[in-house]
Amino acid sequence: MELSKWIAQTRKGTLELGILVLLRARKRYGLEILEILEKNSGIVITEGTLYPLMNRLKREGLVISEWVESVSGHPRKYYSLSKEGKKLVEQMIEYWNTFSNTLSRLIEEGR
Amino acid sequence: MEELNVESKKLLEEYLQKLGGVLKPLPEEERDEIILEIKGHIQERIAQSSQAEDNTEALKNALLRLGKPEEYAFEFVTDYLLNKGIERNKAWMIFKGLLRWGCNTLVGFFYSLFFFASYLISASFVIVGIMKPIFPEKVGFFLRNGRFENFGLIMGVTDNPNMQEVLGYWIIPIALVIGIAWFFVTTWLLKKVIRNRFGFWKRYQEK
Repeated sequence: MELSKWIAQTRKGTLELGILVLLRARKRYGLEILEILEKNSGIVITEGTLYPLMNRLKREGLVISEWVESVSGHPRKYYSLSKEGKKLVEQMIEYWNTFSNTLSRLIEEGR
Repeated sequence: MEELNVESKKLLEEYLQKLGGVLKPLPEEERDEIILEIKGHIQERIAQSSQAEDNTEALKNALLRLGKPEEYAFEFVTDYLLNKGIERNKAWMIFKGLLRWGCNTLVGFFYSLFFFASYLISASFVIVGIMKPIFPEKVGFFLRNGRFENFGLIMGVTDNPNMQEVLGYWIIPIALVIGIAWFFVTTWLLKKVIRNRFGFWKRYQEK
């Protein structure tokens, strides 16, 4: 398998987790999510990926949204986790931690 | 609104108007929300940019990231058509959604092809059942010298002595049942695939 292909797949698979984890701390709006992902994790996605994804997460009841008037004068659509979303993200994190620990151990032992 | 110059204002309005056009399949409320959200996003991008003097450049950059209105709208619309189509059993929506998906990615193309073919097969069985009373001689389950020859409509001569029709009018219920069962199995499969591809939470719930 090509490295770039593998990286793309890994990113795609973890994008939802990344977004849900960001919303665990507090409510955020689209541009904010985009910028944090880009700066902190190097996950570069476009608006055409993020906003439909948020829409999907909302439709499935994992996130809720509200419009808030911002200081800059533009209304912002803020997203936060629903009750179901909160439950799911904890389960995802737990799985992720176990998974990455196991994998790290595997890598260590393989040296 | 930021102090967009006249040219920028026009450019942005044009973009949003086109976006509204390509988002037409969506209900008005959803459409307006998508447009309002991206409008705020673009304006904020412009406000962030350092060249406050000439915000046309900043606007163009922001729009470039979005892609053409039809590109930006693509996932929203495909997602909507497939999900709502399945939810409400609207064949026309699913059909349009599949067409869009099929035009977009290779995986989508093969899935769409598969489902169109499968629905076509299901329809053919139903048609065979309907055609039997109209062309009783030409429609049937034909054997030639004891070996399978044709199930359905035969265009040529059917009074060949080597050829036998073995089902008679039983072909009507049999073809109809196969056709309808085929239809339901295809639809069940289609729902599964769409949930897998275009759903997130539901995908988890099923496991």
